[in-house]
Amino acid sequence: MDKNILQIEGLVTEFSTSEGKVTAVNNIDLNIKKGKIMGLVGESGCGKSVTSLSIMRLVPKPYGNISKGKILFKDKNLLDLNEEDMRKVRGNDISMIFQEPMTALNPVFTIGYQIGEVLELHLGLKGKENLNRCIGLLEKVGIPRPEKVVHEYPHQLSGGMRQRVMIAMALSCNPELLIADEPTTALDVTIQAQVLEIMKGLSKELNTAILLITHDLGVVAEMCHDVAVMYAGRIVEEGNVKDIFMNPMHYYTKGLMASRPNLVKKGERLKCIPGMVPSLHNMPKGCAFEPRCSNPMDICKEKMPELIEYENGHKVRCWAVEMEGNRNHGR
Amino acid sequence: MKQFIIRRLLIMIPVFIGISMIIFGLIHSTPGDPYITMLDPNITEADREAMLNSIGYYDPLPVKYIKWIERAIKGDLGYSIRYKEPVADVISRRIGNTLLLSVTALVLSVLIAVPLGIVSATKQYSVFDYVATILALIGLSIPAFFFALGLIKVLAFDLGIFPISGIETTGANYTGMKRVLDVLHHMALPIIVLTFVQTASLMRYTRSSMLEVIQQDYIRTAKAKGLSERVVIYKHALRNAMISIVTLISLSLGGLLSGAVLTETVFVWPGMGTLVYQAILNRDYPLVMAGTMLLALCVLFANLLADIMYAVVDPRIRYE
Repeated sequence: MDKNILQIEGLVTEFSTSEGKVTAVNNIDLNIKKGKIMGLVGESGCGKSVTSLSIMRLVPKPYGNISKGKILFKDKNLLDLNEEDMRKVRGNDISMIFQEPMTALNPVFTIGYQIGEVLELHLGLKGKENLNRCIGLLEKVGIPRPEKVVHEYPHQLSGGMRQRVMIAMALSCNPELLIADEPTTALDVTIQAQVLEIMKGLSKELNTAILLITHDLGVVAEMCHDVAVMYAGRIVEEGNVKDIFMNPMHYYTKGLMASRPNLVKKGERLKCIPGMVPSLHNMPKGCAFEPRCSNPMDICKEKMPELIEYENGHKVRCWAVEMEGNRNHGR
Repeated sequence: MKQFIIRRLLIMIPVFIGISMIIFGLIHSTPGDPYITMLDPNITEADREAMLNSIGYYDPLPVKYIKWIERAIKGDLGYSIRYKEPVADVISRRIGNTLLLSVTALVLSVLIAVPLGIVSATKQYSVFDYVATILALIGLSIPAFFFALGLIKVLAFDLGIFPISGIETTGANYTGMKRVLDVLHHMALPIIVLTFVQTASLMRYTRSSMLEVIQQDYIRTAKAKGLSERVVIYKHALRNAMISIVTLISLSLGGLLSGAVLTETVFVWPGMGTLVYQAILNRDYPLVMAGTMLLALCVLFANLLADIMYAVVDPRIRYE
């Protein structure tokens, strides 16, 4: 069995708002295996990004707060580290790329400066050596004329090029884990494919694990080994990519699969999951998906189901699946 | 960039001529005769008319303007009616005093306001932020002359720590280091007033631009790189916030010569503000013309400087 590079246990991240405390991430367990790509899927506002910021301990203060849980990176709990030790992890062992390449780079510094900064901070590279490494990194992510781009400013590059720069920056210290928060959402489709290809290739080459946050199931199928589906702050289904796509068990995952546009014939309406994500201020007592579920039962309103493992590491949080499983078991 | 500056300087010429026409027209259309006190009251009406005619008092406005600008281009700004000496001499005697006051106040307020604004923004809603905000609001809302009078009453009159007015002790004729200390002593109160008022607005401005920058995505990127809070704030955030702060400071340079009329008046500081103000009251046309044109020139250059600085601090701005 592959060794876990990151183990999240019972993570709870809360935000205090003017309307009271809300739990954005509710008791999440997640394991990311060394060198593998883990997809984290869900709608906007389900807690994907907060999970990733929690791992980096960059949840915006003072409103956000990680109140419970453990985040074990190579068996040491990141939540126990002091700020200075945590800084040595960021950008070095774990690095991150963000959704918006247009705004994620500082407009007043050159590309070379922004990549070089990481190299100097974590690897102590200076001067000529630093510059050469920057150029090498840019070359690696497929940027043409890297020796020129290194002296340019972000506004002189296109969105796809900027995201490549972000990847180069994130991979500059050969991190063991890369968190990519919707890295291709803001890019157009052809560029998306290129950027994903680069990430996949580098992950293999450098043996870097990736936590890929996305709401694009096509990207997941293309890239990931494992998938976790999040809904309203909780993981509702988890497993390897084949099981999830061939045999989705949770009704939310089933709904997601059914609403993929490529399954629709011309003239047919796009399928969708009716209803809205419940507000974090006003969570149902039972299963958070119950109001939108196509197979609601009485118990779903009353009690939140547990995340239960079935075969082959496939975990589901659903009463219907649990009961069926019990029945099968009893037979 | 070089081309841009040259082009801007050339554009300034017609703008400057336009300004001079407007000011000239306005000043000369104000009612009243400045020469009334200049002439011997015992001369006959006919002699008076003859004299006024000879100095061009009855010339039509365009003729007067052309005469003025002809001389001004040659460097002759005319003869002050009130001070009875060349305008250039009067101004050169005063301009240093004003610059001393306003440059010191500007430098001090930048040194105080920018750090305070940064701390206020990074520790938003802290006790420090609230205290700074309250002080800034006082600074913004209190009229400068009122604050000045309050300081004179308490610090100069009641406690006697500082002199009440003027630039040096009259009749003392200090020299060397003693004179410097004496001027500094006289400067203290007006500097406090000007610095306080300028610090207030600049600090609020720094705070709000820092707050805006801190929320940007690239700040999160910088943190995710593992950079320390200090580098994130003082390098990545401040460098961006500086774009607007530097522009504001450059623009405020334009007000350096004229910005302190009230403060100069209250403290009887012999500077440009009081000079031009008095000149207007006395209808001292040549002096008003030269004074206001100097102020206009200052504003024009400050605007140019602001544009240049903007391009210097923001790589996205390039003047082609």
